[in-house]
Amino acid sequence: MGFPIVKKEFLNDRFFTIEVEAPHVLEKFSPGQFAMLLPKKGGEVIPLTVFKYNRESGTVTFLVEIRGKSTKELSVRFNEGDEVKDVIGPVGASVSLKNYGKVLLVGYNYGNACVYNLGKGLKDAENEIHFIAGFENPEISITADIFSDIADDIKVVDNGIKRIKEEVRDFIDDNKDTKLIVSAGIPEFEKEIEEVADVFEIDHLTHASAIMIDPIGLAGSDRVFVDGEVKYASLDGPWFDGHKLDYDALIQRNNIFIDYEKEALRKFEEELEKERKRAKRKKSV
Amino acid sequence: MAKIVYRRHDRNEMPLMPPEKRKKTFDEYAFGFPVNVAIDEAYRCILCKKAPCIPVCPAELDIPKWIEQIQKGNMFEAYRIIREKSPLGAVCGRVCPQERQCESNCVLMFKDNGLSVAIGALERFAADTVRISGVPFEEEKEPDTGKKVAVLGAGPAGLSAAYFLAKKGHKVVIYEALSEPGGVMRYGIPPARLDRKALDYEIELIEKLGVEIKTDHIVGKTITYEDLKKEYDAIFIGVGSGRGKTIGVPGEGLIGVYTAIEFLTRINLFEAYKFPEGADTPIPRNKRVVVVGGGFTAVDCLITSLRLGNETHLVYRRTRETSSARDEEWDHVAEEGAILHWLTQPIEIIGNEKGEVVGIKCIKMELVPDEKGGRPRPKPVPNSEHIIECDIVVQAVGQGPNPLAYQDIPGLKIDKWQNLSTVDNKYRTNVEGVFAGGDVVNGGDTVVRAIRHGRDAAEAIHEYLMTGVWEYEGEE
Repeated sequence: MGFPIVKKEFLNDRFFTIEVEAPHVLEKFSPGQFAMLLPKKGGEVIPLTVFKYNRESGTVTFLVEIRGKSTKELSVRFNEGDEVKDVIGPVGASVSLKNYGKVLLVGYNYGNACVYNLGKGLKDAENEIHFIAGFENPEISITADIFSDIADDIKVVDNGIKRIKEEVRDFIDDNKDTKLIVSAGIPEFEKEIEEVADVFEIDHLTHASAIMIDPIGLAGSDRVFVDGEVKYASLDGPWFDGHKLDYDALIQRNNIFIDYEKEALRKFEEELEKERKRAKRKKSV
Repeated sequence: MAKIVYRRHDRNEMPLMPPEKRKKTFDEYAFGFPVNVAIDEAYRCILCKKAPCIPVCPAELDIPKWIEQIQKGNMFEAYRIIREKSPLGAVCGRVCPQERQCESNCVLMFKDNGLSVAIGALERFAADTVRISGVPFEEEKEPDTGKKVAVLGAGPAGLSAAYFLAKKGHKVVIYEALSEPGGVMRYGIPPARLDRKALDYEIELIEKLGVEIKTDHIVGKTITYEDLKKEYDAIFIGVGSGRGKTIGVPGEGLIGVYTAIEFLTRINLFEAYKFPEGADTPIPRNKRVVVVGGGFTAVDCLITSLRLGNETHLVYRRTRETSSARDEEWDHVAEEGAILHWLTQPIEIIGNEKGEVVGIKCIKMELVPDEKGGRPRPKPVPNSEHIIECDIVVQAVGQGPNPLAYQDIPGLKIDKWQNLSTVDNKYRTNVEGVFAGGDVVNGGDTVVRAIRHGRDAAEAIHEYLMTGVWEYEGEE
């Protein structure tokens, strides 16, 4: 018994959206929470923010960035009509959101979906929302359309972390009354945004993407350090006070399996290449 | 009919895979009894009228009764008798510390040559024979009562409670946060000790009775206590105590430091040993690993680590004799090449400039008598600090609670460790309709103890459902 894929859509070579039937995730879902996908037996847990959803049809749409083997495989091997083995959720603490006034959402690559998730709750709390959708480079940039329904204004910045940071600084310079910055992406990026938030003394909510293998903080692989204390991203997070999260520790932990991840991706790409060649040969025969 | 003659002969032991071979595979290393050996072993049992093995079994199986059936070749009947008391015979036959339970009190220990009947191996034999035969195993249940019970957690306690409740005719739904049922039997105990086919089979039999298992459901997130209360007549909490504790020394944040639960879950639940071809969850191989701890979990980590080709050490601050794992298991891991450092206490995990583990600093200990008359206490030996070089440290020093599933129950009384030791003798919590059992109550014990809790709680739940009487007898 799996969870059917209703729709899959490629946005570019790096991003795609996948809509899955998983009504149980939505019954209690609240902004800030995410889900875990386990595509198949022997697969790897992929934590994904709940991007868009439809409570009536019970479907959840995830925005996926192709980063490693598991996301690559999800992009090429799983199609409409197929099933993913498990969708666990909602996972994570719900964030209680109030009316702050002026809020800046700033995302980096996949992180845009995370800030969008929280932004929806902020929108419902009648905040004024400004959105800087950041991307590593123009090739992988997504059009602002899919994020724009929650934002009062949205700007795409598609030339890397440094430029996004400058853009954030410029925005705050012009909008000193900004009450909250919400950032998500990779910890290297969030750390940069925190520098700005710190200088201007603005509240900062940030997203800890930690290594997760279970949804309840059982294994502790998702431990992060907040104000010197151990917290679990799957249980107490993923959203934490940006002024207190230890970014360096998170960066260090996220690199634990990097060599293995590269190896798995390389092997999978070789496999795909072989398949392509085989298909080509068949065609020419 | 010919009278059964008690034959004096040595105890049969299960054949084991040779150490060199078994440390290269995650397949079970103890082969079960062949049928002739099983029957031979069963005949060693003198079928005591007042069997001393029964009261020392936490699940109080009618051991002579089912062994008698094995003598007669009625394996199905033997398994049926086991299942009157425990739905997880194939598991218990493998993972129970029998030499401290049933087998420790066998009459043959005192009468014969000091070798008890191999009760565990026989239990496993009966269960495996039924499974491997392929003949459907049918179980009866009482007519539908119309009552519904929610069971939280698909580990040994929850599965046991669900089984006995279903047999009483109640509708049972189990909620499990992970993607597979089994709890610690799935993510904790390595397949080398517990063949997953045996576990899957016994879970299937429970489902066959009409028990529904909802995996991927986190109680407290996917569904709340309020929802459950509306839908069910009673709730049983059997969520275990599954959060890995840490040793509490400097360097725990370094790369290469794992809790036992993470280490085991990666391998046992996500099959990381097949990475990268057969599984996508990675785990380091061919490294130097130090496991800290002296219990079953530590042994499971050693077994697992050895099979990954790691140079594997154990450090434990007490002695082998005072550890809580089985003697036989220390022998097994030592045969497989584990280096066991007894009376050794870790004091610091050492890292390099990249934040990776490079070693663990330890101090030697000696056991001194406890002034209060408790078990001897380890005391550091001055100037005995030394470093064991390693890349990975696995902390198998016990588990803590994870109150997520029950923290939103209004007024529920928890103890200072956030466990539910507050239940009364009928496994009732102080909140009407809510029962609890297994590790969430006793903080960390054996599978068989959890099975017993589940069974007794099922009886109490049945009584409550049928009478509606609720009198919490714990301290208010």
